[in-house]
Amino acid sequence: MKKRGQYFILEAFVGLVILGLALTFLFYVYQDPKYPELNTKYLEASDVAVLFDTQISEISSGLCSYDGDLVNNSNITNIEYTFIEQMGEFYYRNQTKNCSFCLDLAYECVLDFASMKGIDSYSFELNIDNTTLYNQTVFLNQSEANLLIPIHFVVFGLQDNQDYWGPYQGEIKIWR
Amino acid sequence: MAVKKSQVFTSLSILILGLFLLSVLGSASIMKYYGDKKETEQIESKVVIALFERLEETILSRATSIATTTALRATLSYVNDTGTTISDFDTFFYHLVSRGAMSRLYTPSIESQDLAFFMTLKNSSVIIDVSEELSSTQFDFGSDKVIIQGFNINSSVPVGSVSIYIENNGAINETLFLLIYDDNESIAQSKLLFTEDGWYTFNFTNSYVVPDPDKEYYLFLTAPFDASSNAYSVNAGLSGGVTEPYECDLFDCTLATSTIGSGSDDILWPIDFYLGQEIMETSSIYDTVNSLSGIYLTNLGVNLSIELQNISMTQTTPWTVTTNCNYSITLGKRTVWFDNVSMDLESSTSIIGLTNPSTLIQDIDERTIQKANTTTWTEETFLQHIQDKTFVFNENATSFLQRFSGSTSSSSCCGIESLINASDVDDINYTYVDYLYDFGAGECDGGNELYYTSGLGDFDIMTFKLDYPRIEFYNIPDMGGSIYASKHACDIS
Repeated sequence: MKKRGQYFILEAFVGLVILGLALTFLFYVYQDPKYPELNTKYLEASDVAVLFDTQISEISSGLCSYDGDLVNNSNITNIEYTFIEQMGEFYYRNQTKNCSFCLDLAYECVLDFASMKGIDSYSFELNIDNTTLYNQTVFLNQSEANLLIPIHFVVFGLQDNQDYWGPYQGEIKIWR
Repeated sequence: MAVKKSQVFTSLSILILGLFLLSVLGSASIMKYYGDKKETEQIESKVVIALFERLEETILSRATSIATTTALRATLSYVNDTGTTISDFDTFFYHLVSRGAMSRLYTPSIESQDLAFFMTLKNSSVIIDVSEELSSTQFDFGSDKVIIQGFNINSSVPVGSVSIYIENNGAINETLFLLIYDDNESIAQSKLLFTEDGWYTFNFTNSYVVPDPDKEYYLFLTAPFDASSNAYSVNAGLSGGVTEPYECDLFDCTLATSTIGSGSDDILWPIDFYLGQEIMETSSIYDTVNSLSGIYLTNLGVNLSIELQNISMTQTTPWTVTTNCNYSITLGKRTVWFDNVSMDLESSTSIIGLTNPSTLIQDIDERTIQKANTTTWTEETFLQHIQDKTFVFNENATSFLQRFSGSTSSSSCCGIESLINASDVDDINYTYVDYLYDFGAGECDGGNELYYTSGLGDFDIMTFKLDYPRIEFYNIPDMGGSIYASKHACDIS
């Protein structure tokens, strides 16, 4: 009988060790499928967002390039602006200069830019001063996204070298 | 008995197993919590580092460039308005770029009452409410006459808004300003459009200045543009219907009136108010940095503090001015901090398209800086140079910046000049190089012989004179064609 009792104890400890090893193993290999490699995804989103920090003078083709249509028709007057700063100026002109078509210009610019830079497969949104200038949804809506990464900018400038605008918060939201 | 003993052992084993499972799950949760926290901190640090890099690479450079551009335009407007040179250009420029302001004199005249106003903080709480039921007393303001109210607040929350009941004495649809001053420097300003008598709320939406509770600050109420000195008034005895008046005894809420522009004390007064034009607006480095700090704190939870340590403007090329700044930056959030990082920035601003300062000061033949297409002088290009009023680099000429202080000294790196069209100005006994003509420095005398330059077609009137270095510079003796130079006797004008 004494041996039987020892057997139960031994059995319990063996089970305990096996369970412990299994749980520890499971813990280390466990990854929440909703938040895969957050760091990696942040860097990926950051890489996408930083494209919008490219100076117009460095964009060689497309609607908003340094010799694109919007430069030639003087809707873009300062090619030293970054892309997102130019979006800020379109927003400013819409808000304070009664430019009714400026938000359309911003939309067309981002659409063209996203296609040119090969980021049209991402879901992203561009906001200036909490106003959405562009929203591109691929597969999942923003509200259904498992992972939403916002990248922030601050934009301000001088329109026609004269009128000061901003600073506004610029934001690129990328989700999947 | 034996069965019971084995059951006890089994129960004990199950209990131990349960406790172990709980401890493993607990440990797992704790490890996951710290893992998530570590990951959050890693991302947070990446965000802060990215913000700092963007600040260094783009934002401060842009802020400096914009402040320089607007400051140059404001300075040109100032010399045009006053018709005088600026003796201490470096100081003048420093105040403009850093604060959008210029030094002005004033002397406050202390009044017996407090201004009726109430101040709200950014968290919507009313912190100061001065609306005493005293005898009605009107205080006028407008143009260079201002109302000044001292206050202090014991709070760590920035000022959100200030409401004042304002009446007009005949002026409407004018922009009114309320400025918050710390000693002699404005730290925040707000404007609104006056339409009719009533309560007006000045919002400091872009200002995140947290006043020091141990210091007294001043509200300056002003209508700087085009208004007469009594265009508006505030009734100091007016009650705004606020139920809990602030105890004015707790601080020295002195009310004063003053005229900006005469007196014995110095104040940094927004140059836009002096000029009656919105040129600097909120583009000074102080205003931009203040707005940036607010955006970072409100939207990102990141603390940002930037101090402009020094600033200077120089020229190293003829067609650009260079602004050198040193900033001290503190940026951080919880685990990641950049503390008092010193940053040197250099920003270049083109002068092409700006008005020539010397012609503005003397109000002679106003011209903008446009670069000549060539430096090879022929009859055709020389005439074109005069006709188009273009500028050319000449190491014996003075620079763009030197013109603000009336200097005619040569600048080997950055001297520029244009030639005055003789038919546009009165005939005088000076060389017709723009800045020498403007400053009256190229007079014909024994030490400065002048030469008529004839054969200039439409410009060929016997008044166009040049000094000998320019005759050589423009290659006139070898130009050929119909242009030639002949010595001018100084006593013949």
